[in-house]
Amino acid sequence: MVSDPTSGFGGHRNARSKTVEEVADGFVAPPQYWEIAQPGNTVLAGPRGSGKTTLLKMLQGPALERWDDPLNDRARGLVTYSGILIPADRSWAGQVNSYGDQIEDPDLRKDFGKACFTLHVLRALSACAQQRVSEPPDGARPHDRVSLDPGGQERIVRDVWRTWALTEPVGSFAGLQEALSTLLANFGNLARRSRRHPQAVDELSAHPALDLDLVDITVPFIERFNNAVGQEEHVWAFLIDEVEFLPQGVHVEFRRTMRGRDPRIIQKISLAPYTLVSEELRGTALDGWEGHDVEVVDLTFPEKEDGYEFSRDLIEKEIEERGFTATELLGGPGFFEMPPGRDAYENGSRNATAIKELAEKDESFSAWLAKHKIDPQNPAAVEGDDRAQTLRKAMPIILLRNEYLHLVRGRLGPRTRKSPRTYVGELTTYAICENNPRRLQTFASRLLSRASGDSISDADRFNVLTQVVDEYKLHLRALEVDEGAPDDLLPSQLVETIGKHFQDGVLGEKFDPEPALSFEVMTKAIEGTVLRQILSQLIHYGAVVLITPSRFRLAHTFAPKYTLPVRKGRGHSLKTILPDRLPDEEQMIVGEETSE
Amino acid sequence: MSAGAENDRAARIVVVSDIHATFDGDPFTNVAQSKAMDAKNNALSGAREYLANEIRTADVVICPGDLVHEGVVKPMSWVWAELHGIADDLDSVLIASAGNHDMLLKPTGSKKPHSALRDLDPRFPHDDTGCVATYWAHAFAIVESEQWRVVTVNSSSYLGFFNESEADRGRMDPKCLPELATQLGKADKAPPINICLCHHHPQEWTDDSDEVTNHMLEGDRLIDFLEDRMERWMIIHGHKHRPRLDYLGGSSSGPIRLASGSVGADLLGESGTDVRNQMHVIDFIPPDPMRGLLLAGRIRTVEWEPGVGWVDPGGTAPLPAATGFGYRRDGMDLAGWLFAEAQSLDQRAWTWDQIVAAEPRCEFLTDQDRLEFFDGARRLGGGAQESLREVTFTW
Repeated sequence: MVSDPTSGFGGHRNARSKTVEEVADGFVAPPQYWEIAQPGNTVLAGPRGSGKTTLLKMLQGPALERWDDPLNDRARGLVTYSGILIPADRSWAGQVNSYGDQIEDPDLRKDFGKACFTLHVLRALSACAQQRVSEPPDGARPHDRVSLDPGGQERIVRDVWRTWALTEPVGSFAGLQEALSTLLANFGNLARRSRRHPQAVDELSAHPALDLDLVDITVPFIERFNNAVGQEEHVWAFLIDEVEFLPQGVHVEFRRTMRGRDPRIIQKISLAPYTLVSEELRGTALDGWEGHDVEVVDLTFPEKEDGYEFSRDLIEKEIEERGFTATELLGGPGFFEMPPGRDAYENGSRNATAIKELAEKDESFSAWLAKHKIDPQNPAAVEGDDRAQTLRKAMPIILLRNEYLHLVRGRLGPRTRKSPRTYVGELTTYAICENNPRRLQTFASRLLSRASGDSISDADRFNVLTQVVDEYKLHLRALEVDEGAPDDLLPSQLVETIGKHFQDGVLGEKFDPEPALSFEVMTKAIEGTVLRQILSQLIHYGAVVLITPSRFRLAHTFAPKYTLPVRKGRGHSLKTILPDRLPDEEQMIVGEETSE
Repeated sequence: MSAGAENDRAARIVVVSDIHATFDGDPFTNVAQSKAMDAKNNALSGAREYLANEIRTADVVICPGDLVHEGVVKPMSWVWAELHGIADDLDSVLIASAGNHDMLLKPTGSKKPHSALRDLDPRFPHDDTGCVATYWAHAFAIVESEQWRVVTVNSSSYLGFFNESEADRGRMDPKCLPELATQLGKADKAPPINICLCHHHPQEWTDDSDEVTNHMLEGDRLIDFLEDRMERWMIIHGHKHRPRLDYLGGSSSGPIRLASGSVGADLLGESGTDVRNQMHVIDFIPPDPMRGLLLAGRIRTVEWEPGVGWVDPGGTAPLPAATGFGYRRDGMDLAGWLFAEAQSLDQRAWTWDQIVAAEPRCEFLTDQDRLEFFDGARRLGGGAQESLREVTFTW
């Protein structure tokens, strides 16, 4: 189980606590939205702040009725189903777990968790049905609304309330919702009592809610509803947020139960990305689905450039009332970006200047140039594949070494930059924020609050960036880890160790054109260890990014802190970085070193 | 809380009770004179702001006593001025009653137990010479208009005199009842709305423990007295800090009782979290004898949230945001009527609006009686969703 530092970095922006209207008002559709909105089973995987909850909420009718955007019609064309949001987040899952902890019998505890979840799903289904038959807000263009008189509601509800473990008749969809809330409250009380009163255990064991089969009880409701409103084949989509926080075993069973049983039911679930890391967790998360009709959508941007357009739209939405453009707020494209339309290595260019300056102070770089027959006075002479394999690959390292190293009494040493230009700029900001909405919005709002009048300086940008990065790292301390975790493996310290290791490769004594910037570990080899747990936490938090199931990198968010380029780089075995913390088995190491 | 239905309102009474003010913020109160300017953290200042902005108009503002906490004299003038300010803002009159905390329990020198109240300006319990004289002489006073009549009874009249144990309870001076009967009999025609105001609860109320018997001794005589009269009465009292709405007496003409919530007492520890600071606005409808609604209306309740102000109560509040009163009918009988109606119309599910449309008097059920009605529906095999106020039968 991973922790929930909701009060952590940018936590107030979590869509979980926002109404559908608030979410729709601030929504900018990332490219993945159009995949997710397709009418089929979908798994959304992304770290905290990547917009999982927002995207699921934007698959509901009221959200589309509210969303004021030129792309609204395209979204309505895809969302032809009724989205039922099930807030299966850690708040209620924690509640269920705490009730469940009162139950000693493990089988009963599991059944209790499953029953609680089923009742939550039924309540969400009732709420969705109620919303569909009610009038849209004033002025809103209806989406997915239908006409059904109270008598029609009563007839549907009359046929199902007994099978939903309710003890007294109900006459409307709203009534169903309230009755289920009451049932859930009573159910929780019964679980709490069961530790003190043996008869409460018997009562709980015999409770009809434990016998509920989600498909068996939802299909008749959906069928009756569809028939009553003349939409016999209408599809209902269960939107389940953060499914990994459901009580143990519940989500696997839920998916197994639901999969393929009725074409009128689909599922869209969100997962933390760490579940894709290991066979163990992957099995739990996707068990019963792989090989079937399910689309897995990654909410991160493995190629950072793919997210720039979305990031720009998001920032401009965030700042639209302040009269800034994204470029005005964040500065030019950024230090690592080459202006188009000219040779980036021609004499006088920033690259050519950096090559020349570094060659004058860095002997190991000069040697590397000589080895590749590159004249530091004329780097533009290197062309085509030769340039791609040498200068272009090494250029970010050349820029950083030239910026952060200088000669002190004949020796190359680190140089402190009070206001470095390296990490400011629009595109660089998007990369550093990993195109993550919460990080971007947090950064933009902090920067705006700092802006005096209508101008923002690079010094402001760098200071805010430093503050945000420090704060982001500070929140690593809020991640929950086993009490026995050694200090050097605690999340913040682990990031520090890895970051410093990579920094040594970039700014070390010997020039390395392609230093390690990612690490590799066979997660199977660390299954069940504290390291695996902490790695999972870091991935879920977004501090570590999954490249492949066995290869990872630090988030670019840490680039300014450890003077790293915003790129994946070569892979190092994690054992090289943490020699004492990994088992000795050679087979756990995927390869000594892997090139990007 | 909105101002309520205006079109069928005969009179509006605002109840601001048990203020328990201190000067500098004793931990047992939410009303400190030193925070008079902070309407979000001073429940009385907040009440004045809320009532002026949200309620806007009333006929009477009632304060059933305990203006101050444990007899501290210093803030009393300020409280009295604030209460008059509330009444002025609402274009209404102020009528109060003495609470046990308003009496000096250890009088010294020239002071009598009720000297602090007697010294107030405008005069206590209502700014009228005749009222002041009868209140202190006969332990009651009458204030009336064409539409309403308030009898304020001094249930603290024995405090601080010869017997120290009188401090632990209230007392109805039985000698005042004949005089009260005489005075009430002088009116040519009784107004339709009759209120009996006092501080102590008129009969024993032992929800806390069987040792808590600090009610108004001989209060049963007052209940009998009111029950025997031709006009219908509502008793409004404070003291308990636990809001309650019910019917007293042994017959269907017994007085309605509103035990008012406390505006200022810090209730944590005293009543746990199940009781909140509340105040009430009562809207009486014109009497309708042909439908059995001689004294009926609606009560709106708001509760105090420190740092925020007066807000609609949450689910834990003893009195809900809105309730009716005055329609007395056995819940089972009402459920039976609705069941028959449902069958004749072949309509199983009933929203509250539909129920009220079928029997408009249901609007004037107390919240407790409405729950009894729901239970009646359950006894008939039906179900009720209480928050939705929806009843469903099955056959």
